Amino acid sequence: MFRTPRLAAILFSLYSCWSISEPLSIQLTHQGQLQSAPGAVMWLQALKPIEIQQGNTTAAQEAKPPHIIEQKDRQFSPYISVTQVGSDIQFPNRDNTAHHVYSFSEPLSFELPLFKKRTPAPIRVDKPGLIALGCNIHDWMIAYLLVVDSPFYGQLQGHSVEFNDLPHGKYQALLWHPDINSAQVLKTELNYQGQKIFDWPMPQKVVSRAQVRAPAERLDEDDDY
Amino acid sequence: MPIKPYKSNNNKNAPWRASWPHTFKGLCLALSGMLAGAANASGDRPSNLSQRISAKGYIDFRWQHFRGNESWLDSGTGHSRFDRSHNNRPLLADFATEIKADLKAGSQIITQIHAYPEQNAGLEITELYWQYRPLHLSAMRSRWRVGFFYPKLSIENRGSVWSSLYNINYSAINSWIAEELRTFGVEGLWSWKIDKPVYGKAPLTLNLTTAAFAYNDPTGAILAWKGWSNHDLQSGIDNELPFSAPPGVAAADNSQASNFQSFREIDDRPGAYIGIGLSRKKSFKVEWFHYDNQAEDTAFENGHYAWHTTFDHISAHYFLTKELEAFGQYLRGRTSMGNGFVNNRFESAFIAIAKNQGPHRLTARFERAVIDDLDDTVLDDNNEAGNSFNLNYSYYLAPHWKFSGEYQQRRSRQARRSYRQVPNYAKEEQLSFSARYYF
Repeated sequence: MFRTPRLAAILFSLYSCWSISEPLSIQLTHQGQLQSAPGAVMWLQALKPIEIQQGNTTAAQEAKPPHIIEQKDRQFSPYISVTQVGSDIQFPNRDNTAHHVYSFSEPLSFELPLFKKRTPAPIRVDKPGLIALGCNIHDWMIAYLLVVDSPFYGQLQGHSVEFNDLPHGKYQALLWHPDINSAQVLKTELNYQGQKIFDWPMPQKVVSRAQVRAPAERLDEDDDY
Repeated sequence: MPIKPYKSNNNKNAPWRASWPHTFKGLCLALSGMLAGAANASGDRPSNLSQRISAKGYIDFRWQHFRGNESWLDSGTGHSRFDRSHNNRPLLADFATEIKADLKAGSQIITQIHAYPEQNAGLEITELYWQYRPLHLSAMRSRWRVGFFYPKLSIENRGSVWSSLYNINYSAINSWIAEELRTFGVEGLWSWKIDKPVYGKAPLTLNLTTAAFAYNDPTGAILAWKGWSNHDLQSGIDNELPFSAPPGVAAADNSQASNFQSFREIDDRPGAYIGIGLSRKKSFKVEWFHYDNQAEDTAFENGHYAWHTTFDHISAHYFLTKELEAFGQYLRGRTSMGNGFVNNRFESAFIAIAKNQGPHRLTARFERAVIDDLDDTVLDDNNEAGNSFNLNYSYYLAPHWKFSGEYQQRRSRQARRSYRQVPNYAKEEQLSFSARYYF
């Protein structure tokens, strides 16, 4: 009786919520085959301003914990990561040895003495772009941090990345991975109208490689050779 | 033959002379003042001291059986560190540590210390220096070292606290470096990556090393008057090595002090070395060094002569496979003292092959070491020729232990043994077992 319309309304609203939150999966392809690039960063920039229902963005950002890039087992972790402009970045050293982390990249140029097991104060990034990180003591240590000026970003797991709660509209999709496009980002246009899958054809077959491992160290070896 | 008089040609009244400390205590004080200044000037945010200071090293427990002449360390004519008097009993062979203090990014004070309770009671400070690696925008890297340190010549002694990675007893070249050779000065190293980066492959690197140093004027004396050895004893900053003067030397007007100090400044002339090398980590390394202490070989002070010692050194290391490595060092040089009293040419080379398999490593080393006496001083015949062979097996028990078994054999002919009523020819054999705890 009078309960039915309410139930129907609840079910309908649940359905509509669910249908809105159904994620968009963007996957890389080449000649009809899926291409895998774990860790590759993808972000979407709205071509027209979109009203984002996130409440007070500034307050939300300030409350955000810092983006962590650790030094662990004489390597950076994560190898590739992404964060939004205005984030704080922190470089805790989990190793029992000192690191000397630096970047000469345009968005953030710095050097940090990282004595063993030390977590320095976070650093804020105010500019978008690619930050390449190195360690002056351990040559092989390299990591990449993409700083993006968009709330819609993610990293590929296998061959695809999912975007949740993406408002309908036109976007420019951007992609970066050190082995796919070392110098510049790949771009494509995306018109999102609620579709579940978007195929992004790559200009060539994707060969993405994992992070270089720290060289094995014997317990009696002096590392300065 | 009359012994030629030796006189120092130093100008003792030179005004700058007063500010140039000739003893190690003075020098250590000056150095520690400098290091303290560097620490204060670091300007970095305060951090926990324990995060800035780290120490690593090892304790070496040894058992050995030796057959041959009595050790030179006990004034014998043998060339090992341990002799029959150390046979068949547990020995605390070495307590070694390297302490690093991080001052700021890329700036450290490093010291290496050994204790040899079987040989002497004190501590041997074998290195003490400030190291700085500035950050460069280009692919070039540089490293500065200021203080007292080993020149990085050795392929073999690149282990913790300058130990040999492959053997218990070092090769003749590296044993000599441990005895007599150290840089007390400033060294710069520049490295350029000269090929395009390839994934998973270390870059091809061109290395240029140069240094200016002092306090290495007596270098060459132990080599001339004791000869080549195979051992693992490293001289400290203020070390005194026992020395048995050949009769011709004992009769000289200016008699050599019985306790020999390797690291002294006698003539106030700095020495220098330069090295050029090419390397790819875990693939290969070749390097050439030219060393000249530029000593004024007529200078004499406080029982120590200045020896003009110069040599060329070539090292090569090649990984035949990931597990199989071949390496060697070659050294050829001259040393002279006392206006022609001693004039020696010395030469040594070794070649080694090491097979690594998981926690196991097997190393075989063959070497030859020669001294040609070119002067005609009587009762100071420094001629020597010897061959040695070393076979070592090591087992790594992670994370702390390394166990080694080693057979070392050395056959040598030395003219000066006859002054001690010992046959010129000697065969020395040593079987050693070592258990090292790394911390």
